[in-house]
Amino acid sequence: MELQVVLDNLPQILEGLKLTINYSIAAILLAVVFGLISALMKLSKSKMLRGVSTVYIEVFRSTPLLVQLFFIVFGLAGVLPVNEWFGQRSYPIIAATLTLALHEGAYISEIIRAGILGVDRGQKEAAASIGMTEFKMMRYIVLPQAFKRMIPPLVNQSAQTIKDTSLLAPIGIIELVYRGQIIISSTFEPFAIWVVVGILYFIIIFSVSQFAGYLERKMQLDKR
Amino acid sequence: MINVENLHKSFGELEILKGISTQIANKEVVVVIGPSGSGKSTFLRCLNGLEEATSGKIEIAGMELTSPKTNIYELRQHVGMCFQQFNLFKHLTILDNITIGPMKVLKKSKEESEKLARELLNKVGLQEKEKNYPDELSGGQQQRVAIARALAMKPKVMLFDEPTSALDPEMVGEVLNVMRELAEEGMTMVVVTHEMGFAREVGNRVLFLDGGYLVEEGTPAEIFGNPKEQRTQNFLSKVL
Repeated sequence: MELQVVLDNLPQILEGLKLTINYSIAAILLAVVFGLISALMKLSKSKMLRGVSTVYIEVFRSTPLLVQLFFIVFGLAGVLPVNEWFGQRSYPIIAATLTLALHEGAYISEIIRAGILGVDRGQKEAAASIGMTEFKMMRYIVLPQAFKRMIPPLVNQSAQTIKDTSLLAPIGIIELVYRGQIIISSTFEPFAIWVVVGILYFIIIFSVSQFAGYLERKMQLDKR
Repeated sequence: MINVENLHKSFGELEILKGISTQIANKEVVVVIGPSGSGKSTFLRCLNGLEEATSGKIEIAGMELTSPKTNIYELRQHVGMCFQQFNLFKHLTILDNITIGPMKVLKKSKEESEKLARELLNKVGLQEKEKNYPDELSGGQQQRVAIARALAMKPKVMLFDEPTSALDPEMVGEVLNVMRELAEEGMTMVVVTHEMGFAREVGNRVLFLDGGYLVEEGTPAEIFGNPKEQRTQNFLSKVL
């Protein structure tokens, strides 16, 4: 019975789901950090910082994530002794999480930049007029206002990140998809297992994007 | 208190200020009038470095703004400013709008800053609004908070950039009253405004700007009663 197969393997599937969620959370948190740094660099006065940021964003947005993962996880390992530095087992996991974070960070950078640019110029002038430095202006006036605006698109990007973690499977990192494949290879029940995997992704991603929609509607009511 | 020598300001090819020189004494209330596009707001914004002078010299509150050695952030602590659009910090309560400068820029304690903020709110008649957010206040109330926010830095000079232009007519008076009080307390003020009544009544001196030049300056009685320049006469005949 297919249902019996699903029930028997449910603990393992849920273990895979837990890993997917862990990778997603780690990638999103790191991506926000990368995105913020890159956005601030792109808005800075220094031509060099702007250039570095632009190259980063464009490279990561204009190549497929799967290629980025292959390149950093396997490509780099071919020319650098990264496996020795980080350990044979840890390197792919660390590298893949960082790559995912860099990839999402490129999109988040543009979200953050748009949020910062969306803050009214008068707010910055008022902050300047009471003697705030650029740093304090960012810290106390611009970013708090920008972040509120950025929350809905950031939550949406988080939903995208959860989907993107499925690309960790082809590079041999165990998460929900990889776990599904393993179970199928021993049970020969692809239909039932992929249905379950699909449903689990749907529940999580649908909830996250519903939450983004809710935040967006709430923000429109509350213009602060 | 303020010394401006041959101030020029260009935006790209467009020269907005074409050599302005004037002195403003301590406790003086100077009103800047002129047609739109005359450069009066740009002149005011140059005084706290929101616009960088293209050439010329500005000394204000004992510091030379146009010297590259001057710490512009420190200078701005001594030069308060109120904007046409108020520009209260939207994400902060009224109280926090006023305390953020003293706390984050002057590094005063929260208690001290809040005590000062409440005194200032009391002064502008809005003590009961401290927990509200800016968008819950009328324009006139917001501008009074903006004045309190600027005063919380204990400035030596206050700059006002058309503080009543964005207000409904019935709210103009409450803002002008606060400004009048401030003038009576001896604050040095530079006010860009279209309120000729205020200029005449509160101003010690009126500057008339047109086309980037300081066309004429004098006491309100001189400027409004007996303008010497043709351009001043033309302008006043339109607005009075």
